[in-house]
Amino acid sequence: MTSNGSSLPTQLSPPSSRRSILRELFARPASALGTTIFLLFVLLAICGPLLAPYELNQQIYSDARQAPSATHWFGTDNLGRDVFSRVILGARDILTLSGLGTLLAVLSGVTFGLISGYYGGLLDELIMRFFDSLLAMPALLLALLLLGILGPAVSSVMIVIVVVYTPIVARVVRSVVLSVKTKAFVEAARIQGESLWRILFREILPSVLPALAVEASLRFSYAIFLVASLGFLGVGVQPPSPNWGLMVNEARQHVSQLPWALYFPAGAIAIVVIGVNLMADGLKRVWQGGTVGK
Amino acid sequence: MLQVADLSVYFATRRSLAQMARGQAAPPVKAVDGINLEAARQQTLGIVGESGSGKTTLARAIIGLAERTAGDIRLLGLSLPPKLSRRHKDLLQQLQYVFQNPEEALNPYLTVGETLRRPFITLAQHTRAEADTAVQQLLTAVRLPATYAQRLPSQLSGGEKQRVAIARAFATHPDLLIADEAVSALDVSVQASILNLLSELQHEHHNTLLFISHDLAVVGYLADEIAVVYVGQLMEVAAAAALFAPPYHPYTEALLSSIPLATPDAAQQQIRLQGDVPSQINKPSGCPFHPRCPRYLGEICARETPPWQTHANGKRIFCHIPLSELTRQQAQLIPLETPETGVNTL
Repeated sequence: MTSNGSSLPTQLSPPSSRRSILRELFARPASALGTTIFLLFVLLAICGPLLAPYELNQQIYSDARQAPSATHWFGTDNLGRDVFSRVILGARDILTLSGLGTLLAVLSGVTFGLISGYYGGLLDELIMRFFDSLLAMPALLLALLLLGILGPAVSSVMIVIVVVYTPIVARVVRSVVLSVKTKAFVEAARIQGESLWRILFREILPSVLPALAVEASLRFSYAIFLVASLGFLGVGVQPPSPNWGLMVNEARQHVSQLPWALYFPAGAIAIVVIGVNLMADGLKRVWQGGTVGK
Repeated sequence: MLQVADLSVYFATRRSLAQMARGQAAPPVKAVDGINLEAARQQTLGIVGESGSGKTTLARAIIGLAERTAGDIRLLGLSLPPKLSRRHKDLLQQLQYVFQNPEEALNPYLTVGETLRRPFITLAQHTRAEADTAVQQLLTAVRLPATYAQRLPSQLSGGEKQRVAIARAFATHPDLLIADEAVSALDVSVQASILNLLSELQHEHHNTLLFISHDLAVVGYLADEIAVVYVGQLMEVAAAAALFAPPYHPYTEALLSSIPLATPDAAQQQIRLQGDVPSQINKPSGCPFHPRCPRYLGEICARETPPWQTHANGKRIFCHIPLSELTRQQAQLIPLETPETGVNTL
């Protein structure tokens, strides 16, 4: 008998195929909206420089302090910078910073969660109690503390995201590992003399992925908010960077005369956070196996 | 081939506050309590007992998933390290295991081919291409189409999953295969075909089979020798044919009386045991079966550990009652039906 995959009528895709997840996300209105918003902002982040009508820090003194119009869709700020261009160009800044930060937090969270859950015992206690103590502090307070030590820089903001979110990701991963590690297929792998690396990443990790994807997208939305908040407080990314939080802070002083310079970046933060949140919620529903569209 | 000597597996329990105050240690759960067993090459050793009797723990101690507290396990004359991580790959290759629940035995995210390829790559040091060829042969050997290599476990039935699990266990030509309740999660029509597959593969591979089940009829069908376990201790060891003839250990007698017979009008003595299986933390003194024994002799059963009595046909019984007396009492109540007929009618 020879192997011939194409003769098999039930050649189903693996349970976590990217295509079917997207399809299911678009099956519900809320998650479809969220996903669309997220993808639009990703597009903005990629093609921002092509779409923005003006340069990032281009100051047009003659047009300063203008209300939204045909030439300046979102108006101009105190220094004569085009708010529309800055909001568009800011998308790349905030999405890469929070995206990269979340990615690193997920990687370290997965590593700690897998090790902590699989080994258990004293090591698990040490790691988890340390993480508990980090979680006991409000995220923003912890972030301010860290930035006070590290100094305001892009890399510091990244480290803050990793430190603040690693414990949360690790907890989620650990809880799934605890339920999976006693399953027979993991014991079978141990009997077969599989390496620890293989057992953790090839046997256990796939079972963690659904919960992890939901948690990661949720963390991503909070990371966007955190980066914006730190920018607003002036301790994160420094001017003249087009960080939305920073822009809100700068516009705050002139809010009575130039409200548009505040509303548009603030609106961008709100929309992208809501969008990613809706998408995370949709992902959760996809994996919780609920019927779609009800 | 396989020798198990004085094997004990105790699990620690949490200390109560009162025990801490008195400085006492918490009594352990004695899941396996001093078991001696031997299995010859190519033989099938059946282990029977009700759930919670320690059969699975015995098997897990042999395979290395449960760490033994005391005793020695030898395979081909070599002592097995208690910890799985201390066992060399050559040793792992000789010892394989079929799990009880086929639903959990296969990783739901790996295809059948990916799962079956692993033992060839890790233990037999095959290349990827060699392993893939071997997987095809393996699937054919367990009567599954070779195209199943591309399937995920969720696309297989329970019986098919168990065939894959059996294929994985036979991949490395083990000397000893442990099948822990390998058919109890399957429905009856599938059970027979899996049992036949196990015994056919055993014939081809010349391996020893340790077959664990709560079902005496199933064990009787497959095993050459049968050991009866009760709360972590052996009660009776006998050749399969001898087990079904008196004298029996009173516990075996009760188990035998619970086998459903294919002939409804056959006279069968119903023995209903009183009470529950005793706690393995606080086991009865003397003979562990004495509180429930229908042939309870008297104080000697509660006070003294019974002797191992050997019958002329080789069966060994752990009981105070003399064998001649047991034979006399049990002779007239026997379900003379052999259990083989019970399974073959499926």
